Amino acid sequence: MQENPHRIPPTDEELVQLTLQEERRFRSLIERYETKLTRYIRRISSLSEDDVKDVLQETFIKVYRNLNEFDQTLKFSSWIYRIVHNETINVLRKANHFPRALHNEEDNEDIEQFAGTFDLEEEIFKKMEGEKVREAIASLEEKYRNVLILKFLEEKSYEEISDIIKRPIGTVGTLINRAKQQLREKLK
Amino acid sequence: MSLTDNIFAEIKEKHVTPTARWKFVLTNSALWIAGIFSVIAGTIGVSTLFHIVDDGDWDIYQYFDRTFLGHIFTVFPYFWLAVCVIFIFLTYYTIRNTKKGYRYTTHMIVLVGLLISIIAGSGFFILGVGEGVDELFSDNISLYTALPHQKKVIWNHPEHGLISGVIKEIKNDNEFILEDFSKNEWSVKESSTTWKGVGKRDVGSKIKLIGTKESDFVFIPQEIRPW
Repeated sequence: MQENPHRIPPTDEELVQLTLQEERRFRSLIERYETKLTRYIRRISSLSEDDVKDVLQETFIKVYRNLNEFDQTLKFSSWIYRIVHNETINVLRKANHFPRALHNEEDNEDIEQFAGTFDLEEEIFKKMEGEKVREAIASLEEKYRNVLILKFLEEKSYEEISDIIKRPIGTVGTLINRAKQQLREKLK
Repeated sequence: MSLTDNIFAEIKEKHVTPTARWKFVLTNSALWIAGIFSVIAGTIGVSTLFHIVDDGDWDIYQYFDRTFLGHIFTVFPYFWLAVCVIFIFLTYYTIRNTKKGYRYTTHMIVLVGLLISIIAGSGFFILGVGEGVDELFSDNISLYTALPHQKKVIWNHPEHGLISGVIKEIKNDNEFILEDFSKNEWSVKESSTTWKGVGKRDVGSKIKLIGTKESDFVFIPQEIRPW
């Protein structure tokens, strides 16, 4: 039977309900998030390819096991990002592994846009190279680095970041402002 | 093998299934119930603290050769202050760990917890809950009766001119027998004694006495207050 090309694909939240009825529907959720989450793990850590795969697999198993815990008033993406975020941080802490974030080649363009959001003087901005921004972000404290990555590279809203890192929205705003200030200082 | 295949293989091999919804509902409900219990316990703590502060004879510091501030520091009901702090912390911890508890700031949870405890605690205090709890503890927990804030401890210093107990027998217009809370019998000899408040000179009345220990178990009160 041919699929109707005009059919609207189910939302993540609908897929959760479908997976609870039919295990095989989980495949769609995995396929939807595999690339995004892989990129996110790489952005917040410097784990090896094998470790990234392990974290990803463990994340999806946790998601599957806890599908009934998913709160429909949240966005599914926030929930899955929270799980992968915690899983990655746990692995890093267990291995006493200090992350050196943002080593993705694919992030180059994002990094430039990211730097542009800081209203730095043009002269300074011109002198900046992607690598410098990358290093400056990587040298930030984990809590500041994480919110910057979520806000400017993952393009999450304050509310989504609040749901991902489980901190109040006001705190997220404060963290982002402080992170920007620190980054400005480092880039000057 | 792709990631998807690996995940499905693990699900099959380890028989992974979604945890039942009721387990999550139960955990979250238990946290909320614990949070509400903590608020109530904190409220009772506040009302008992209010009762002890209200009922405290703060003017008797002079009989202990202490400053007023020194007396407050010595007899302050730290136990109940600790109870309040512990339960406010537990309220914070349980609410913070509920499903959406992370959305509230620490300040907000602590402030709301404190406000509820103070407002409801005042209500409980007016209703006599604090007094009841203090009595319940002092009647049933021996360690509690030894705490410095306890009236029975404060008013058991004959050497400082302070005793308390129950009138056991009226001898005559100027003398009665008082049994203190350590079951010692005192012969109380009145001489220009002032009865304050609604203290009754009847058998069974609980009273507090300020005066002088004349000799072993003989006391001359200058002032008698109701318990």
